[in-house]
Amino acid sequence: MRRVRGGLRHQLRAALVLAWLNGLLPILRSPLWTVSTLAMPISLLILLTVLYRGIGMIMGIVGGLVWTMLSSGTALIGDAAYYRLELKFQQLIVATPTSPLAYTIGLALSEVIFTLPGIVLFTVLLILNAPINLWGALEIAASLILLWYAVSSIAFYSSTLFTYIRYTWAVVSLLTLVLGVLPPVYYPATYLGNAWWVAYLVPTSATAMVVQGAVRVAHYSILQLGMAYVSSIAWCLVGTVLTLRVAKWRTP
Amino acid sequence: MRAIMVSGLRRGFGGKEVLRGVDIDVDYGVIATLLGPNGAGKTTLIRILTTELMPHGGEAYIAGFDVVRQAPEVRRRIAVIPQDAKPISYMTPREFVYSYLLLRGLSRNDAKRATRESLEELGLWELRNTPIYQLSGGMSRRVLVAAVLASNAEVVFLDEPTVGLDAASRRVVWNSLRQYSNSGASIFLTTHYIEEAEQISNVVFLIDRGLIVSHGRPNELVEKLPGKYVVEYPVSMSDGSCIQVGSSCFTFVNSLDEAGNGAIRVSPKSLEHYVLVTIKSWGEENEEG
Repeated sequence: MRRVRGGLRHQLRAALVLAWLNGLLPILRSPLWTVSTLAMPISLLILLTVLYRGIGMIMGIVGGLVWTMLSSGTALIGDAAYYRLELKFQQLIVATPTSPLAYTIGLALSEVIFTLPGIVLFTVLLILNAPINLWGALEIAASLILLWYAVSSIAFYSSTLFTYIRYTWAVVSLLTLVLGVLPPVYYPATYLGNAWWVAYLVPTSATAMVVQGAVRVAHYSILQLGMAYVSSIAWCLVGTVLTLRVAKWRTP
Repeated sequence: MRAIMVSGLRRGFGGKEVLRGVDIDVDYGVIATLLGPNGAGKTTLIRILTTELMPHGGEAYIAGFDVVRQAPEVRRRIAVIPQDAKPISYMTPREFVYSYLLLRGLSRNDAKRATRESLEELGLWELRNTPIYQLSGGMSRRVLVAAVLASNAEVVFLDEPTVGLDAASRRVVWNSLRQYSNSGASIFLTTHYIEEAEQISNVVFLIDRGLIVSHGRPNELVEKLPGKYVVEYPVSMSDGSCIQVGSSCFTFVNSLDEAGNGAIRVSPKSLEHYVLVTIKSWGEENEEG
């Protein structure tokens, strides 16, 4: 029998293999998939640019960045559920040294790779159209990474709740509405008046506040931005706790 | 040490006990088949043995490791094709098998070599760069078999591996399984095809309503039946002395002359007849369906 590895090095490699097979390979096989995920944020960008010119365009670009990160999470719900319920791929992997955490991280990485063209597109547009200094760039990167972590971990947990793949389709559409359109992602949280704190209730709008502040398309106080970071970190913690609860190979 | 040792294994879902104290021993270098009707507990047993499902009682050891307390050790030594599993369709057979082997922890060189050997063995090498969605259902099933057999695991679990395969494909898979077990590994498979169990198994376990009701070598089980032939009658024609299986009656005889009027089929006794008369619920299921 061949020697089989199972240590930390194997777990890292397993995560990369999963990222390759579920992220890079589909893009190479059919770039149209990537373009299709960009259809909605680009549509909103065009609409906002036509309606509100300069500021609308910046809002559209910021919203597009956040939306793209969100879509990497919502795509994870569909993929993880599909692999578990339809292909039984997850069960195939249970009988290997690959850990459930490596599996989760690998799938989450794959979704980032899948959405990478969108992230690059909106980043380039942001650099070309908005004044960003180094500190602002770091703020944007940090808040987007926190968002990716939060939505991916919560998405993986959510995927385990489904017993039938078609149910995920409806939930993904609803999540996109609830997390991507209704909260202040494409508009400043200040538009909500006294209820601006509602932006902290979902991770997408907390991230959007930081990015909007960094490119100076909306003005938030230091306290408001600090609270946005606290909200993002809190969502990450929630996601971690939820994922650790379900990232086990064995059904009790 | 045995490849699989199961003792008094129990598992329930809700209020229903699906496994009610299963005992199984399987040696190395053996193909063992678990035969039973739908709902008998076959998949539940495989899920427990592959560390995917927690048992509610009893013990199970794979390659000497406890499936509950030593699950990581077990996972290094096993490979499984779950029921209804499908390969990822946009991948090619080579990509799928290769990436599966990397996920199993093989080095890249070992994985490349094993991928080639296994694809050749399963007759898929010519199709190695064809996307799986362009392959037939039988071919894509063979990709899964190629993946787990390339793993070189000590114990391989296959939950209905040949469902949907045509006769030729099934034989390709059988040959590969035989070759794999000849290397010293054990294969534990479930199937609905009694012919499959008869053809490739060294040992057959019959499971019914969560209990192993019989086990042995296929020819030993057949020899437990009396006579040489089976005469099948409609139940309405029987005089009550036959064994009722669904809507038919079986009478075991030593000579074809003993087949009376009304016989609808006369055939040499086989594992199928042993299974049908041993697993009562199979007959009941046929009656219902």
